[in-house]
Amino acid sequence: MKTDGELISGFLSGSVQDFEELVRRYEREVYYTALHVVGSREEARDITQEAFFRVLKGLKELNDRERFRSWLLSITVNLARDTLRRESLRGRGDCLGHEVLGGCSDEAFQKLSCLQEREELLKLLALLPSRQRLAVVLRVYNELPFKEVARVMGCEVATARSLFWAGIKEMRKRMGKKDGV
Amino acid sequence: MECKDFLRSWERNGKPSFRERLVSLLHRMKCKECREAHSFMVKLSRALKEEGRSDETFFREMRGRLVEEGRGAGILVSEPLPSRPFFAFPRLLVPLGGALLALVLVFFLLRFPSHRTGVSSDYGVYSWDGMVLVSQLNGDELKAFEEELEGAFGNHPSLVYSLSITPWAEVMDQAFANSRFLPSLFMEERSGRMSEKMEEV
Repeated sequence: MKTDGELISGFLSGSVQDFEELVRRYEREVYYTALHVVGSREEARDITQEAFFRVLKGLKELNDRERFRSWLLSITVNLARDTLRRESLRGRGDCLGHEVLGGCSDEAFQKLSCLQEREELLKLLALLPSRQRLAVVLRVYNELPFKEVARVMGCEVATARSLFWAGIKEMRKRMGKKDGV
Repeated sequence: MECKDFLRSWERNGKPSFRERLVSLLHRMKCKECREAHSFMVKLSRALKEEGRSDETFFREMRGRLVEEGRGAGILVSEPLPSRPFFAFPRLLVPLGGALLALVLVFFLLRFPSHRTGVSSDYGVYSWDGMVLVSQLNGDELKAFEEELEGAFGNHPSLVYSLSITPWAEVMDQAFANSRFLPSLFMEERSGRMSEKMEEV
């Protein structure tokens, strides 16, 4: 199997196969990262496509080819943030769960009891403020170390770490609230 | 989540070693806080990594659009090859080449048997089961005999091909080495069309 660096070299010399392989390798990760952050399939598709269009046009500028994944995730995260910002301006707010749960009220959490565990957790994640949600997704879904999470988010490592733990704490608190703990 | 062990396990870079996992497991057995936190993280990780309904169509279309865009912008130039080109399989080429070589060899052996080289003028002709049909023919006689065979068995090429044409010395060697050949030197009759035709020849 070719490394990212080899695929990038192939792409830069015009190889369609290498570019397609590179896209195929990361398309799901980009898509699901975007989906977990913005919470909408339609938006996630737009973000994924735009991210790869940017790769197509800007890949030759990437100096460290082995850091392609983190570069791609940075593009994805920036696009996701832009989307959230747009949504926020439209009055949707930062908390994705608003639409789904009808607000972050106690009644909303009561409704969670009848949902499957996975849906529950994803909805709890959606209720987090966007930066906390982003830190949780990058650390748990993408399995990035905090140093990389910070680089992708464009913040300090300590900030990334505190955002992550704050998010986890909040989710567990809400989970406990729902369970009546 | 005050327990430092749990925090440390999530702040580590890379995968933990077996020893670290064991230590963490033992710690969780006695620390309820860590046990609950760990269980939550495992569930969250599973929930995030479990992919929902497939978006394959979208991915395929997106790749198509990207390639089109790349070609339009002059970034991508090469033509896509079929995913499994026939001749890209070296494993297939080996048996194919072998089969082809064997066919060529068989063709030349049948088309130009050794008597045409003129090394020896004595040949024995016997069927595949070792029965000697005609013996001690010189080159011209053998050629005439072959033509007769072709005329007689033209509609049954498999019968012709089942015959071997061998230098007479070899036939005799084989005959003396294996006594089962000896009776056949007198052209034993065999039932069926082949024997009749042979007699005619």
